[in-house]
Amino acid sequence: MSLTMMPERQGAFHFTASNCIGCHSCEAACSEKNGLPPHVAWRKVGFVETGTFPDYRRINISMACNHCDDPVCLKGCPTRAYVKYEDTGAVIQDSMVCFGCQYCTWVCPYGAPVFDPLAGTVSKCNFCVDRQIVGLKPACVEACLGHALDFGPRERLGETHDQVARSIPGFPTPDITRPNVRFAFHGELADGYGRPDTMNLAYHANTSAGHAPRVAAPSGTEKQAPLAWKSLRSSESPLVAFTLIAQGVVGSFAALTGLGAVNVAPAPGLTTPLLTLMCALLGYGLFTSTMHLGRPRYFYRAMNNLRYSWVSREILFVGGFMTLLLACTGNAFTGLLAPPLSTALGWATVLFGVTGIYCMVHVYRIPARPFWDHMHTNIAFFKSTLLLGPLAVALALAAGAALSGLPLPHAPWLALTSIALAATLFGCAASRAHGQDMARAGGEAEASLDRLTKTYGNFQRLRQWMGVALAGVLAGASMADSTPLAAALAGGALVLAMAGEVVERSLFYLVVVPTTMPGALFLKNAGFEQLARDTGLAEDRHVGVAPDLHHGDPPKLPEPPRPAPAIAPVPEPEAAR
Amino acid sequence: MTFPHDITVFKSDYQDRVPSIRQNPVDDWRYTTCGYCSTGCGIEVGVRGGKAVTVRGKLGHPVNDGKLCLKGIWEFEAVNAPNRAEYPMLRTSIDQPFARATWDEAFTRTAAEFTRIQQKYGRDAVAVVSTGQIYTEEFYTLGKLVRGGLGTNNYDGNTTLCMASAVSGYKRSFGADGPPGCYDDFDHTECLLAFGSNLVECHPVIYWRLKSALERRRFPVIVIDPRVTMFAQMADIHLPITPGTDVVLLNALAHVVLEEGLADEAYVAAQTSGLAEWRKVIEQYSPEVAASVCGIPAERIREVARIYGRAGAAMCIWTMGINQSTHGSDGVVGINNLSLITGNVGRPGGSPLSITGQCNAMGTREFSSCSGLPGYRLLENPEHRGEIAAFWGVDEATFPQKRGRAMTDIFPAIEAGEIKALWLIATNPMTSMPDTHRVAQTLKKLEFLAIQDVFHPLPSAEFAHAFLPAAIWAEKEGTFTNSERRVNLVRKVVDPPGEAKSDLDIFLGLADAMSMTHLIARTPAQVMDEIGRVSEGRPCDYSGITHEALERAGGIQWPAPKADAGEAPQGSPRLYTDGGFHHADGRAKLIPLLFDDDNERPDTAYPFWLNTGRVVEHWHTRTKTGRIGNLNKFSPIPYVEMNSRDAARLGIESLDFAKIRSRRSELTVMAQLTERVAPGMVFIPFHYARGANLLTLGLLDPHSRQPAFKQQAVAVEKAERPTNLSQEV
Repeated sequence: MSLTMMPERQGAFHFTASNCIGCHSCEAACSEKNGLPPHVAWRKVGFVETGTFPDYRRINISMACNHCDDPVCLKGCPTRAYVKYEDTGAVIQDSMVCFGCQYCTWVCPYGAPVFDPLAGTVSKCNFCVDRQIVGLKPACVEACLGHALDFGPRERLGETHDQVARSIPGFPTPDITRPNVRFAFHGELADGYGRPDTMNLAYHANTSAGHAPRVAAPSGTEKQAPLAWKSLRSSESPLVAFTLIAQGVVGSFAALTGLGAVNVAPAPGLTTPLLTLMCALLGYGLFTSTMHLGRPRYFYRAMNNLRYSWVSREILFVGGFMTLLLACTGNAFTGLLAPPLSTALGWATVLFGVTGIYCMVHVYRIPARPFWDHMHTNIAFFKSTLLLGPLAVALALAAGAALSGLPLPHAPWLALTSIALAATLFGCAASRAHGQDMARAGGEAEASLDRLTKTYGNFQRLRQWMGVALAGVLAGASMADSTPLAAALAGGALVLAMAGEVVERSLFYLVVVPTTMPGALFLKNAGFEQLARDTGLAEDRHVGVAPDLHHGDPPKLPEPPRPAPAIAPVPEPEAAR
Repeated sequence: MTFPHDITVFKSDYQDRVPSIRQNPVDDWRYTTCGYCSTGCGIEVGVRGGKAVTVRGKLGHPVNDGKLCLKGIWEFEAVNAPNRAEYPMLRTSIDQPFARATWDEAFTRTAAEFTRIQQKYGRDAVAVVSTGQIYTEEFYTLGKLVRGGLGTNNYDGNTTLCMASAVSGYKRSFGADGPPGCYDDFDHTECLLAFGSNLVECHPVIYWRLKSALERRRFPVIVIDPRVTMFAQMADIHLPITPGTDVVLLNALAHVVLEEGLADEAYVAAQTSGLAEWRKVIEQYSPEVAASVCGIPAERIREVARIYGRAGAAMCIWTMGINQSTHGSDGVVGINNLSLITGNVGRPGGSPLSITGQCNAMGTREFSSCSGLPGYRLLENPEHRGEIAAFWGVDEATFPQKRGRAMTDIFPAIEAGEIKALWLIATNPMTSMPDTHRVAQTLKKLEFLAIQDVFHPLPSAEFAHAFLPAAIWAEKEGTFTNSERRVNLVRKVVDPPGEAKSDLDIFLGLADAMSMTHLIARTPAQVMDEIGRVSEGRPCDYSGITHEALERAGGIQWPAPKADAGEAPQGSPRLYTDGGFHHADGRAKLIPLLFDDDNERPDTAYPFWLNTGRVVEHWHTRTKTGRIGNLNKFSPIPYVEMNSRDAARLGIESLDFAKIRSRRSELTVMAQLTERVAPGMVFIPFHYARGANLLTLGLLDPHSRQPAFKQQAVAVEKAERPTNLSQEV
């Protein structure tokens, strides 16, 4: 799907990298004009470096929004906060519409949209269209002191600049979004450039197309995340909960519906509580993912962009699934609908649920996050569905049988446990293949793999062993000959499976390395930001690192906590000596 | 399409949605000149509802034509920054908290303490250390108050920490202070030599002038700097010199110029003296000798000398890399020598142009009477003393017959108990002077310390007995002089906070309290009129300058003699265009320079060179920029640049912490690994309180008394991350 916009006069930035001195005037002019707080910057200057003293060279890169021909932010935004204007080609985001899901910050390869946790919204460069309409260049361009940054109609940049290259070392591939930025570099580029921030990437000359990112040489000591739950916590934890719950519930409901089709059900009276439990779980999942928004009160805007956004579609189908699930549960309580209708309702619910998972997969198929943009994401999400759902229903089946004293229905039991076992084994194989593909792909994909196997190596190994154990328990369960043993094994397997899935899904969010622009020592350096948060430095607004707010917490730092001058009350006048 | 203040419509046809773009309307734009560095950019401040809300570079301004660096762009925030001192404060002992006082009490107490101490210990027991930050009118008034009233000879400015070597070098070579060139020289020069100047970070708008000239017309740019700064990287040739050895390089460059017959012999014969003596010394400094001292290959030195010597017009610029050295004054003289023998003084595109530090370091040199008497007059000259005594209507005997202590000698004199009271004006020695612990011990010894500043808390104010809250830039009217001698105006834009007063009004208040009211003109315009009269016929002639003329012209370069009626006063872009140097014989001196390596050099116990300097986002001791988040965020805590190979050897990774030890003290800072510094060298920005200057030694230049901040030895080791990283300002 592509936007069929034909801007009349697509403006574009031109950046002569060899002229940029890293003086931050562009950045300051942008922040000043737009009244941005220190922890938000729409234009940012980072650098890459090469060589040894005294043949050291630094390339500063100033980057804002590139007002792309294919604005993935606009397409991804569920609220439709983005508009690409036909007259200027500007892609403009409206913070008043934004509800702070941050999806645009995931899909943009350049880090142009910036989330402000204090405001709860994203904001980004507006191309200074107010200046453009009166014939002025954007404020950043006007402020440039190095003759590095320029702006003009894209098709005419070649008239004023001798080079209009599409990339520069440190700049992500322009293929994803077709950005409206062109580059020049006078002099010779080195073969390799390193980054000053903690992102473990370097840029190496390719034979074909410029410089491509590769994992930088290991820096020596490996800092491993300790094997503790808190290592797995992140601001995306609500999404771990939401995706796993949605997948588990859809899988469970599909399994129940499938059993219904062959006239098998858990012990009488167990279906209704099961459905109620599913409603409660999914309700919690939806609630927690809503509270994860910067501004949850505008949750209803989530379906504004069904035309382009997989997030909107995900919400439509998962929301629809939730509604139909409630209807099914209501029907289970009241019996209002007779079998043909109730069966139809059941299958419609399954259809919504599965479509919801399909949309969810596409939400994560983000080209700017190559670790996710792989068939593995499809497999992982459906694996979770097919592991957790059937296993939960199998447990219900065995528990129901044990409670009621009825025999365990052998064929359904074998089917459910086999599906779970197959999903587990297939998942393990897919992870392996994914790892190999990531290693081969290099760049951010390889950097993610590096984080997975080194920083989170403990968890990765734990996860693998849990998979083996789970496969063993499931194999045992499928062959169990007594009902209590079956129930116990199914219960154990479910606990193991859930723990394993939580670890795996948490890692999915934790290790992904997006394509990014290089940072500097303090600015846009994830390592320094973490240090600032760990040491409390981030509490000082003048440090420019947004404090780590848990989503949904009210902003707690409207004003900087600075000491006031120590002034005591006016004393009695003192006689001059 | 219009852009209202607020956003609004959400239509189904999204093309009609009006983008929400912040508009920042102002009631009025007021003309000022930037209060940070000495580039002297024209700035208009936007005011809304009596508050400074934005700035913009003044389009068409002769210095910056609308351009500003990031500090200038955020300058209105310096006015609105937190922790502005709003009330006078007093205490009898530094163990007590300050108590709020009235201005009357503060003036009376300060005057009484000065009087008491002068009566008890002598006139010179009170010292005054001012700044390069306040207006020329204020400097002149302060000078009158100190020289004509207090009468102490311990009176100096913090410019001793930054420009004293340039002043001293100019005086030794040309007979008077004053940079001969101007920024317009970039458009005429055929070769630029930049010594110890990181123009890109320290004077970004001057760099823009240079780069713009280069875009129009290529000419070779040669940067001499121990670090690979962005300026070094942008240069055609970079000479990574061993710290502190510039004099040797300068001698060697002159050696090649003489040897290869590239000197302008006619100019040398007509305009200089001392050639024979000088030549004898120069002959000892072949490029081969220099190579072993400076760490630059002899052939490279020859190549640079040829480029410089063969250029039609060639200019030199320099900043702290030259000035802040035990050979600072000699370095400046060396640059002047090189310029003189090639005839590159005061010609378009050819001058030795010192790039000044503070916004009004020039103003303090011209009229503060710190190192003499107003208008580049000397205390040592009886005629000058007579002129000023008559002009001010004071007894000539009030004036000492020779210059007293410089700032860097005042502090040891406090230590020695010779000085008992100190008045600090807009300067923060606890951060800016070398060897912080010693400065703290010194300040503790004072019986009375008065601090006149705009922010509280302030590191140096810990030791103060009186705090006099001053108005900041744009809260008062007056003039600055920039690096190219351009006198320029700052209009008053907003009122100072609380009871803060302009520095001029504080001087007036103290003059009243010390019964010197008769001495002092009451308004900035009146003071400027007096400066015009006192400077008539002097090298820095202001007699044609009025505030109105400055605003109309975007500044005027002195000498600017009185214009005929109805004519606009004409400034002077260059000095010495027809010779006319200020030595008695009208010639410039070629002064021989012998090099004596007296720095603290790395050894086995302290194996690293420590170099200090600036970064673009911070201004001096960070009292302003540390309080502006959008500047401070680029380097919110101190850090050390160290070579990656050294770091690997010491087991230090990026964002680890390193303990830096010198013979003075130690400091733990975050490490930035980079090949921008040489192996065996570390660089720490000096802006931070209890930062790099804990470590510095600050040996003094014998002529200028300026400390060497950039050459000392330290040891480096890996350290644990300190528990508290928050940085005071």
